[in-house]
Amino acid sequence: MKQPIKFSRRHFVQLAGSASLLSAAGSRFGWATKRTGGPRFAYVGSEHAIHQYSISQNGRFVLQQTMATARPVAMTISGGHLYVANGVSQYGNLPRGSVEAYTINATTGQLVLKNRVPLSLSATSPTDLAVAPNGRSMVVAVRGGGAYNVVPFAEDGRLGAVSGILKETGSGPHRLQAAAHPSAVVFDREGRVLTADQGSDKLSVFTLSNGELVVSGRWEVPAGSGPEGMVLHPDGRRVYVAHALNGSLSSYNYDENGILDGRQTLRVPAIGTVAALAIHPAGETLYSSHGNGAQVWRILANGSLEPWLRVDTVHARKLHVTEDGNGLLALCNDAVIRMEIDPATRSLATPVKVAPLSNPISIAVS
Amino acid sequence: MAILVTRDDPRFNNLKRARNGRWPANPAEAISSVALCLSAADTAEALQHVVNAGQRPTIRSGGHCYEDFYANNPNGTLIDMSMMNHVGALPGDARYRVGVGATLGQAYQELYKLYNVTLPGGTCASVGAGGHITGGGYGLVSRLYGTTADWVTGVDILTVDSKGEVTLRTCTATQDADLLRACRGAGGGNFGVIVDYVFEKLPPAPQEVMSSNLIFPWAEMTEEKFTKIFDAFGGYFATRGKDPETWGLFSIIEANHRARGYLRISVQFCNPDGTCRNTKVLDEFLSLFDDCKPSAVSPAAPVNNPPAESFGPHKMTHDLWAETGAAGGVRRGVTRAKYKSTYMQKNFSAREIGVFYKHLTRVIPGIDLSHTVVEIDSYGGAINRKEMLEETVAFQRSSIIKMQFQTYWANAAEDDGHIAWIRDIYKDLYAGPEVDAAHQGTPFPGESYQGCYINYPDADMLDYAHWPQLYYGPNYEFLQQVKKKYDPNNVFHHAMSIRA
Repeated sequence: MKQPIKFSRRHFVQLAGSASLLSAAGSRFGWATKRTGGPRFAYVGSEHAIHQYSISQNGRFVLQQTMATARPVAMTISGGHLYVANGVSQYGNLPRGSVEAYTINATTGQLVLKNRVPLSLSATSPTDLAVAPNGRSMVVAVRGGGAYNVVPFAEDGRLGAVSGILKETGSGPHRLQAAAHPSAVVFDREGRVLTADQGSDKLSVFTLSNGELVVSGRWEVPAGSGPEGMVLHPDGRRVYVAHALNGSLSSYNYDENGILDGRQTLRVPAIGTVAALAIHPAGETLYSSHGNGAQVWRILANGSLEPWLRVDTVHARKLHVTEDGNGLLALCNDAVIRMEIDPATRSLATPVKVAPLSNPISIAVS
Repeated sequence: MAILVTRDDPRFNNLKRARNGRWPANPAEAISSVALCLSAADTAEALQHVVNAGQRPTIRSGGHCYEDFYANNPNGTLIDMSMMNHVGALPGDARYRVGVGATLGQAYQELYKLYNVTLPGGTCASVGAGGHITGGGYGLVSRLYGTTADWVTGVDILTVDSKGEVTLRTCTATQDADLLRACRGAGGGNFGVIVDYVFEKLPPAPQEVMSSNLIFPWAEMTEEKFTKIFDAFGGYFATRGKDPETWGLFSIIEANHRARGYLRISVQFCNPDGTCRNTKVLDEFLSLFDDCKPSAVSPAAPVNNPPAESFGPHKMTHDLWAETGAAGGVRRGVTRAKYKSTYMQKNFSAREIGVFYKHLTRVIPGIDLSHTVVEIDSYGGAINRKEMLEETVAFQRSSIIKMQFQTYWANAAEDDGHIAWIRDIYKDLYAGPEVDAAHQGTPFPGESYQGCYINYPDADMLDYAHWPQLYYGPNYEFLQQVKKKYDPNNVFHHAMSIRA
């Protein structure tokens, strides 16, 4: 059985050094040469558009469509629809963000806008969204307004008016923590909502009932750490959090009653306030980025993390593991980067630039 | 403990309603509960409960808000302050206190009977002190004494700190002075829940006043006469009306749409010493309109009640209890409304008068404009004391006229017609050379205008990126700093609240 190891600075440097060989080999981002099966379409958000790509057999993204929209900062696919959060501070002349629903053409992958609806008043600059397991609504984390919104779907995927608002308060010691800033939202297997609040150093669990959110539990994280990214282990019993303001990761046990405990905290080198996470569907590896390179973690049997590999050249603001588990996609400054994941060892192949794109900010893959 | 009225309470349907029948615009925007507060402690407890529950509080005192600021709060809680209506000094405290739930009519009566002082507030007796005073409320003696906000020397206000804790702040010139200044003119729903207004002193109530009405039937109106009336009125307040001797004279042109049948100029007057022993100023003003041959008798006005409906075999009218006289309600019938406002620094131009005439005689098929009026209020006098620029955030201290555009109707089917009328006249008025190219369509502060009045909020102005300058002029940045400091989580917000 694998044993957790303490993540020391010395150990990290060693790992970084070994990975730099891999990084050096891939530093020119050559194009991928082979790929089998897997996802067909990718949707990548940039400042003013959603770019729809078909994914070729060699893994390269081939641009099919560019759909103009406003700051698609988060997107997810559910039931043949793409749901998008527009990270804007004003919509319809009022201080609020918005969300959109698109129909995905099953054959071509192309998008057709179904509708765009406003978030609640003061719900500015949403950052994340997650679709409920029953596929009938989504919860949106709203950074600017310090709130969560519930947006219901009609049978055809069309968005309805906001049905529930949960307004947050709170602050932290960091200069970026003057107010609550909800940053991540994830549904658990029981249909509860797990959230991270970068502004108030809080993790929360909500229940969603009749279109409204009710607080079920609150947990404080280290003051000034700024939890931003959050993923749930595929078995549903471990939560991983990337902290943007102090360069750390934490993980928690998460039980069937929605209770978090058993925190493990890991320090990582960081630049700026990026904190991205992605987890492999097999539940054996976690990928993180704190602005200065991608870090690969082994997930041990007890759910805790052990540092493994590092890819220094990939400075990702967001990470995404394809549903088939064969690729890690990283959104970097000027491109979408793909790293093949070895199905046996989970190690990463040389980073490959699959789609040149300035400032990609969100991704969804089908 | 506050009284919490929830959806299953029989009082809820009454208490959730806004005075303007347009709000909430749809059921999804409606509140889920009303907290009736009887004390500051009640209010603090209710507010803390709302914050802890992740709800949004909106606040109502008199409920006269023109836009949907308190009514649009999906599943939120409306904190109702109407029973926080105490008026008068506390034991051992010589200062005057007015609870935010006091209506102006109640405050005038009690301040007069108890202390022989008054508030220079508005003419609508059922308006609540809460929103009125913090928005810079004014009225018939404001040219003599200034605005209500000018006299405020302290506010007790509940704010929510960065951690979500409710705090009662006593704001004075030496404690939280920035918040006190912001509460003197910024309008309600921005920083917290004001509980009390405090006044070190208040102006003496006039001993007596003279009033007069000049009626100008539309049937006898010509554009030439119309122009003379407007020009005489505006000209007076642009010149003679600046003389302190005249500051006890307050006048209004009730510029009704032709469908109403008449225009009216009403005047209230007293001399600066609060007496009417000498009416020279009033006579002088009234004589300006002699050539226009006013009458003292109003043509019959349309009845301001809805038609009786059929309920079974008999005709009868249905009212919610809150709308009946027994429950203290006053609103029936034409409850839907839309408003706009303008501060003017100069007399009307010929072009502007032409725009008024055009729209006040305009016919929109199927739309009853008999409850459509531009109320043109005299302004200035003591309001324009420049020292108040630093003490309050009301920057409009050079204006001579303040206008309120109003249109009222009964049925949602008429919404579009009424809203089109008021938007059209406003857009036409501010499409002239008085407004620079970048600010066309609005009375942007400049040589001619001083923007708009936050107590007459108009969400149409949100179409313009410069809307904060219309309402707050150069003080918006200061207000944003206050907002960040005292409401960092933006707990208190509405469509036109200060955006940090």
